Amino acid sequence: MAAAKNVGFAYGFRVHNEDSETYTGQDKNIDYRTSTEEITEAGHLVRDVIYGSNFVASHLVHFYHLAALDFVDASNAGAASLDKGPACPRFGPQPGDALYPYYYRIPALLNTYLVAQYVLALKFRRICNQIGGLWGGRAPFIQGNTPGGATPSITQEKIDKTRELLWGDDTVGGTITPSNPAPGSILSFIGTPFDFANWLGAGANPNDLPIIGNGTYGGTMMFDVVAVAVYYPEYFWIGNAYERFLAYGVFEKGDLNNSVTNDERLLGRGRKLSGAQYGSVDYPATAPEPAVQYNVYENSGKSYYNDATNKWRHPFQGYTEPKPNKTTNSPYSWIKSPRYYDPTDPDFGSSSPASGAVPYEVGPLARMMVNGDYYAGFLYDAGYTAVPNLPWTGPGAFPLAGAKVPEYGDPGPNLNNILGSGGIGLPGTWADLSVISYNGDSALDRYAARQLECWKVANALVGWLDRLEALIGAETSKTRTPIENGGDDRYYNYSYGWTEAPRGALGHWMTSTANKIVNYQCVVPSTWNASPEDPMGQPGPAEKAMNSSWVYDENVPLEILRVSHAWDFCTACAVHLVKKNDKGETVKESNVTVDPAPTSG
Amino acid sequence: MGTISIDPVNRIEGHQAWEVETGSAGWVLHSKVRGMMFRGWELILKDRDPRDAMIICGRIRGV
Repeated sequence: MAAAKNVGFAYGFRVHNEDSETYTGQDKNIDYRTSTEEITEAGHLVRDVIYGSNFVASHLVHFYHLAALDFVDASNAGAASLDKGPACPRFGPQPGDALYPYYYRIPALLNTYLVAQYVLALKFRRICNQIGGLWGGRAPFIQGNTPGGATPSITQEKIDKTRELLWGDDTVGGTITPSNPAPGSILSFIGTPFDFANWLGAGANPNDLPIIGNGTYGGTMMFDVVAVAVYYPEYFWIGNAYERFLAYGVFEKGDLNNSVTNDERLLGRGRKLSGAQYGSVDYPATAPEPAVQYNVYENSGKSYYNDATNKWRHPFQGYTEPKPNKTTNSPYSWIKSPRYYDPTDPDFGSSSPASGAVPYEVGPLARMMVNGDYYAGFLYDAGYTAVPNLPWTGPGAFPLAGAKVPEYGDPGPNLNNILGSGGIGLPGTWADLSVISYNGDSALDRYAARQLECWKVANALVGWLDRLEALIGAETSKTRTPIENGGDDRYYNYSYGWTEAPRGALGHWMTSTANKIVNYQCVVPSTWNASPEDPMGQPGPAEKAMNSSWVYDENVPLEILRVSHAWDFCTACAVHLVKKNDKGETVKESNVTVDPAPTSG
Repeated sequence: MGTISIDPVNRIEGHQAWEVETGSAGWVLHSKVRGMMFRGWELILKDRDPRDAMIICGRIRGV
């Protein structure tokens, strides 16, 4: 039997034998050891392949199946509408209504094409999950990740099959490569970030639609994302949040396509305090404390948990006692408020412990910002300088044509001059968005960065597979290091694990004795983004974004859905609870019900 | 001007609600985002073998 190891190594760091009563969460005199010592390269690579396929599936699902219907009119899909097309949006005017061209601008043919892409994307979602299943046992809810690594063995068969799904069967001929993927493969469907620009640059008539799924220019997700975005450019200003980005980092083996010795994470760890490319406060991975676990705190003041309103707890001391009938401090959410404590932060509010902590946005935009892959004005620099002259559903030429795709600090358009009485004369009162400066932290930036990341991760899979192939049969092909319980039951062990879920920074904190969990706290991405107001009165990032938004008609608040969906929320982590009586018998098994239902304010 | 309540917000994973107050010209004055589900993983994991946590919590973000 191998020497007993503390299970904390499987998750991240271990704090040796700290006493729980005195641990403050800020004590830096603790002995950190990273879990990467315990997980083999092969283990990391298998995890990266499983996780990478999950990222691609999740981002693809988000754009087509969760978000696009806010912009594409699925009820007006014309000839391409399928027998059972996607459900109509819950809100929205019908074709022929005066305001239809404001809410749904994409002309019929392009709209029809995008609805067909929605259906086609279901197939690619399945293929991504096929890769997850191949390496992880099943997908979703993957079984293959275990403490100490991953369970699957590395075989040529699996690698070949994954490559085939990713870019096509490269054994049949010399022309199919990751950069020239076969039609019907994942990389072919994703395309490249410049598909739309190339298509326009080739002198395409916007009414001359790309052939669906042909893998060149049109028919790709990158084409579709930009095609939708250019019809709704005011969302570069609507939905601006804090410009505060936090990423824990993920994909330990990095970009092996470009350097097989690169052990930097593909998506790095750090914080960034501005969407600007330059002149921003940056906490990259090389800084002494770019982002550290002991600075994360949570508050339950506005949440349905039994805790003091102003109490801040580090997750090691986190406390989760549901109190659905709580009235103190007018709670309104089951989500707690995580905040980051850093007195050097320019927005730090107060010197008392944790009460100066500030909100951070997590997610694909935050990761791409921290990693330097995206910034305010990225699309402008990439060649999308102005909104093209596109056909649209309204009268005359597309009124937003020629509008500048913004760089950092650019004021927004006055919608009245474009869509209202100063423009094409749609009725109603229109907002002057010039009061908002573009900061790279908008609804459209969240959509754009997410799909750029999808493209980046899908292509990184190619390098990970090559490296896995090289490990077949080698001594180093072992994917898992067994983790055994052990240690001394008299002491608490503190462990935490940091990674990135598709929706953002994911951290779990565990206090345990040798064999039992004493306290476990999950601080998940949507907790950061959808957190309620904290005791200092700071709204959560999603609320902040909504507070810089604008609604044309409160009876058709599609703008709220667009701003909200851009975050790709996941609040589905519900469970069944079993209630037992004092004899230990199960007396009730049900979903958690709130009685009475929580009310606002 | 008024308060817009969307509950539930569809096309997301989970149950969520928004309450949005709007003012003149439709600008949002104040908003509340509400997570409407209790998660409970913390309670489920208590007293279990620490190695179970990763397997059980793998179910949180599987979608």
